[in-house]
Amino acid sequence: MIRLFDVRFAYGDRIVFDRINLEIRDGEWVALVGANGSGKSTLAKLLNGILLPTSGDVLIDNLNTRDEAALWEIRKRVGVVFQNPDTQIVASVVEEDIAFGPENLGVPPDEIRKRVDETLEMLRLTRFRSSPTYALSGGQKQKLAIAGILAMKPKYLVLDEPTSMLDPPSRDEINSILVNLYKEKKLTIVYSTHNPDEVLLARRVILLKNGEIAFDGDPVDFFSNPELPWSAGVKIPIIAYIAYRIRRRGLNISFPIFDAQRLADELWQLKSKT
Amino acid sequence: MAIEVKNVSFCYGVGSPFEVKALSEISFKINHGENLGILGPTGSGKSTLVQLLNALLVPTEGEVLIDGLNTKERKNGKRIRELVGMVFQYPENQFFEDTVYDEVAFGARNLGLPPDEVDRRVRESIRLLGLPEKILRKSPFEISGGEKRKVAIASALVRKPKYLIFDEPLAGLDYPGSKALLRLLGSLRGRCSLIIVTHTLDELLGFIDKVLFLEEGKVKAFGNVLDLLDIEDLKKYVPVVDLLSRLKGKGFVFKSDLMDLGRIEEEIVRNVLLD
Amino acid sequence: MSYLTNLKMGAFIPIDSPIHRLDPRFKIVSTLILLTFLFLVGSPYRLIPYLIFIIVLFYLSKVSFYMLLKGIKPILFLLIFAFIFQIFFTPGKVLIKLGFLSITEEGLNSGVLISFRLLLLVFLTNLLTFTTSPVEITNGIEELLKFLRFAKVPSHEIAMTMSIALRFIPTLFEEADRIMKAQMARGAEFGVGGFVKRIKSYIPLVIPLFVGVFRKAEELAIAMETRCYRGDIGRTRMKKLKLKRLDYIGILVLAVFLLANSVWEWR
Repeated sequence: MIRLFDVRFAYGDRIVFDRINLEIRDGEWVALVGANGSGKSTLAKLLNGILLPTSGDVLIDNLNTRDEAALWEIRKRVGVVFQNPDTQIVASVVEEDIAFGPENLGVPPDEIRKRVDETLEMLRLTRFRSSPTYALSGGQKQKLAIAGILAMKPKYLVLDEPTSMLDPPSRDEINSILVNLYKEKKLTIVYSTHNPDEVLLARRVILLKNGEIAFDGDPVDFFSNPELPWSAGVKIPIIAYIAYRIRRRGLNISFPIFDAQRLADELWQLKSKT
Repeated sequence: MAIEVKNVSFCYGVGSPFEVKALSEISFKINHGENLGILGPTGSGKSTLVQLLNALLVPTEGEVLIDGLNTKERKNGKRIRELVGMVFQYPENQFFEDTVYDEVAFGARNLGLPPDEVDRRVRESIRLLGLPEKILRKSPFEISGGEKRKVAIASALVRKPKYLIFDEPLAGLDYPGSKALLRLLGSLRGRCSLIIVTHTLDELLGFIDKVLFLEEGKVKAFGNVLDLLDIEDLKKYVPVVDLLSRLKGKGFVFKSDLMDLGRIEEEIVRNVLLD
Repeated sequence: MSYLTNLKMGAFIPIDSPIHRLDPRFKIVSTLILLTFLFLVGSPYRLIPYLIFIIVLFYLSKVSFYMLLKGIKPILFLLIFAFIFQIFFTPGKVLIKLGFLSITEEGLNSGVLISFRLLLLVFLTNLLTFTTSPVEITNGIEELLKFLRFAKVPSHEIAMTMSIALRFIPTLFEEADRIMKAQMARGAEFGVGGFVKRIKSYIPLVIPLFVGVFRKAEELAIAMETRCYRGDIGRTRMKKLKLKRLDYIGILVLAVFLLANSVWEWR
């Protein structure tokens, strides 16, 4: 379990969080949303001890991130994937980069080899195993970054806007891989994003606004009233937006609708009635 | 007055063992005043194409004419870059001056304009971007992310280009940031032609007159959105297109100049209520 | 574009040959040994066995002779200059007089020796870089530096620095390209004008590049810490360099060559 107790974080004068209390249970997929500057990235870095709270505590399975002796164990358990695919890659060759994490953990060479093979397969990168890392596309690099984290066999996977620098096909591929991994490996996922469709992958949405948690609940509820996400600087899915506006013009369609086919069906049904 | 791309092909590393054909026989035309959206997956040649439009690159075959000026002729280079401005992705990465003023003025000074004209233009661009004058004294490295983006765009606008290319202008922006930028793009109508390379066409539908869809270096489609409703791959990039094509399949009829979300929603409502 | 970076990624030619398959540590050490021996040779004739040896190695490496010759191009000027300098400015028995300049016998001797030696030096180092990838070279150096641990040489840190630098070279080239184009789009012109102006013209390239580098370094450090990097403590390696039969054969061949050559030289 991940727990935040009265966590306060400030960069000099600027207060990012005032008092955050949060519990994330094992096996949850949580979406973290909020405007730029709301603290999403800060929170991601607090979860693996890269940043320490100004006051309050961050506990990972009862290990405190303030405890230097525990940090290494914490980082074994909490894997973090960042926004920029390029600056997460350390080695010149794909399989060597994946091996970097396990090597740091002191994993025996044969086991490292096994893990590298497995994660290459999971992320569909096997044919790039000996390729130079600079030659990969943005999407492939981000898959590599994820592979490098997964090779450490983390319990928690934190992703800080992992697809925001990628094009739609790469985004879709990575998200579908993550969904499969979530099901198979029973990971706990904390996924911060601007993209409303990615928010819908989660079962729980946490909204950061003005230094506190302004919403904690179901994604569908979150988008049901567009004023809530908008006031927090979050977009709503485009189909839902169109549905919302059509509804505002007086047409009786259900809300929220996220799927294009469903919206088309409802509109057609309405048309046949008139 | 137009940008004409005539049968253009482009190869990187011609003659070397690493020769790569990035673009094949691209042809299209954009009249001054029209806005163009360029869509396509990574590797489709979008960035290469836009660099051909302001003579940063020169076609291996075919020609690119900017208001009649051929990009192949080196002497045209300076003039072409006055006519065609470009804002790269994450433009904040190009900052190097001590003050926002100098950063924005850089582009104008390179035009050889006198200092009072430069000053006028700097203040005008800042105002256009909705930034306060006091930001001019600050260092471009010490302002917020959203402000940085605006300063970078101001530094392109200060040159008063006739055509302005944006490569992924909304990249990394959240909802308020996107809204502000979209408002700005809307206000540029009439001032210059916009050429926007993007993944997310939905939000930009209101500003785009034509869409160029690239795939593997070739033109897959060119026209307005309605003309492209049947192209499978386009639906991935533009969920709205997906919706419209499903509705079309159910017998909905859309007028040909449908372009922004407001009008799309009107058309949908009209279709439902009419018989 | 990655084509640019392909050209810049060093001279490694990825084909399969016995030379390519040799352990990089052996190749590095033997290159150093051969270079040392080259400098101990006193006369041009004594260099001929080395030339033959190197040509044989090139043949075995399956690298085309065109590449061998292409490697001379960068130092051709230096070769000619060194040769001319030696023949005209070495005192001794004069053979030919050209105005106030004279070519001496000693000069000719040392001219040929120095240029020939330089040529062989280039061939040898090119052979190393053609047949050993940059990654292999850094791995090899890391392993070799371990021997200097007792002298408190931070071999792991040096190797890590080298390999990260290597990894980022193509990235930085691309970044520089991007920045240059962004500034050119704003009307910047690079490398024009008088000396001072030309240097100043690169400021819009250099500063953003440096700022970018610092930012990347910070992000990379965070990514490394995230993956539990803490230096060399308790670190294992997936790939360990081990000498194979081919390497032992190589050691033998080299030893025999050097021994035979030395014996011949001292006869």
